[in-house]
Amino acid sequence: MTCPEERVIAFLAGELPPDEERRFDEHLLSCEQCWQAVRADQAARRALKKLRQPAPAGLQERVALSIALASQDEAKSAAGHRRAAPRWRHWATARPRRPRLVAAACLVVVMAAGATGWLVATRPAPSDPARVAAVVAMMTPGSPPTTALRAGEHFVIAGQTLMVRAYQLEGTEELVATSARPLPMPSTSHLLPGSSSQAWMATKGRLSMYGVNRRGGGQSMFVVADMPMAKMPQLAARLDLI
Amino acid sequence: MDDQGRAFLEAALPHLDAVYRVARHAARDQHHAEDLVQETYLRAFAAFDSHRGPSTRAWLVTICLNVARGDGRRRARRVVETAMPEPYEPEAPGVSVPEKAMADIDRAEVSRALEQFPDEQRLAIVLMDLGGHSASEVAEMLGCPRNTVLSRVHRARQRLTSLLVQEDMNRDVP
Repeated sequence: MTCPEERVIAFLAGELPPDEERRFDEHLLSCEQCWQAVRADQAARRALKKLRQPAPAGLQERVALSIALASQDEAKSAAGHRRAAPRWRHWATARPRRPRLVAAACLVVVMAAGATGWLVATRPAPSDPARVAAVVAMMTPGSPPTTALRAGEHFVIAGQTLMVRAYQLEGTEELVATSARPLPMPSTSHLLPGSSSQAWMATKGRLSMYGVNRRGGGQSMFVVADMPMAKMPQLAARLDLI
Repeated sequence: MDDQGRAFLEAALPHLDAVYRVARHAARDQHHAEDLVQETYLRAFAAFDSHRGPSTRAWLVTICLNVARGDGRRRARRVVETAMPEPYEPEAPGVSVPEKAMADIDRAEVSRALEQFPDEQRLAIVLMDLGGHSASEVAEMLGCPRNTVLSRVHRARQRLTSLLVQEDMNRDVP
């Protein structure tokens, strides 16, 4: 005979009326099936307690810093703060872009961005946030063609507007993504100390990333390039990102 | 940081561990889970003005689940909620629970066993037994009846014990 599951569930949830609970207690003495169901339930709960681990070290700091940056950004916007044009914008117009890279970046555009410009980005690196991963995919040969990003245009990824631009510096191709809001960092990134901004570096295969989340409503940005990570600070400086 | 940011962190950071535990099982690895937590907090902060619910933890976890579903991270594991009654099929009727073996189970074994669960079962058990949410809260988060949550959690626990006992027996076979 199979006992009704609902009764076992209600007993375990402590939801049986007192009389019925007493009867079920007695029933457990004679019903092996219900008794084992109760024991299995309790054993699973004990086993699951082993998974109650705390968040990894450093995650709280990263979250708090992101909120601090977003908070300052919002405060600036609310106050109607008029931002000066960032230096990268002048730089971008002053230097010619390399047509081949822009064309290559356009090649990955297979899905139409659509009238809304809302994009679906692939996640080529398991550790990269969607916004970072989408830009990295533009620099990754053979990346799945679902990244609807094009250099030189504004896009919205995961609710955040990004501008992606392609550059060339002494034979090296770079993509620079900028946003008015701080960008989530890859969990594998290394934080770099700084008083007025939050800088981070990370790698994905041959590619290196260098990002800066600015405090106080400044433009946040990151650059992706095919070069060793050690050279990224120098590149970021040459691009006027820091 | 402005007052709003401080108020948000004061209300939300104490729940970081709980949000991470759920994120860890809603994402496919630790890196995704950390990314998911970061995005959850950024979105929660953006919506903090409109948060009026009694439970900040449940609110954060709901955002976490929405982010996990919405950004396509878990397309292959998307939760499909159903209010249809599910037939009672005991996973292993009469399976005996060796107490000592269960006590020796390590965290990795429990995680591996959970990975084998369908989404609706894994999320229900993670939210209740790891997140510490009530059945009513989980029902609201998953958009299904409370009884369905209780049923899923019960079956998930039965299944988990069965899998862990089986793994323990396999380990003992030379």
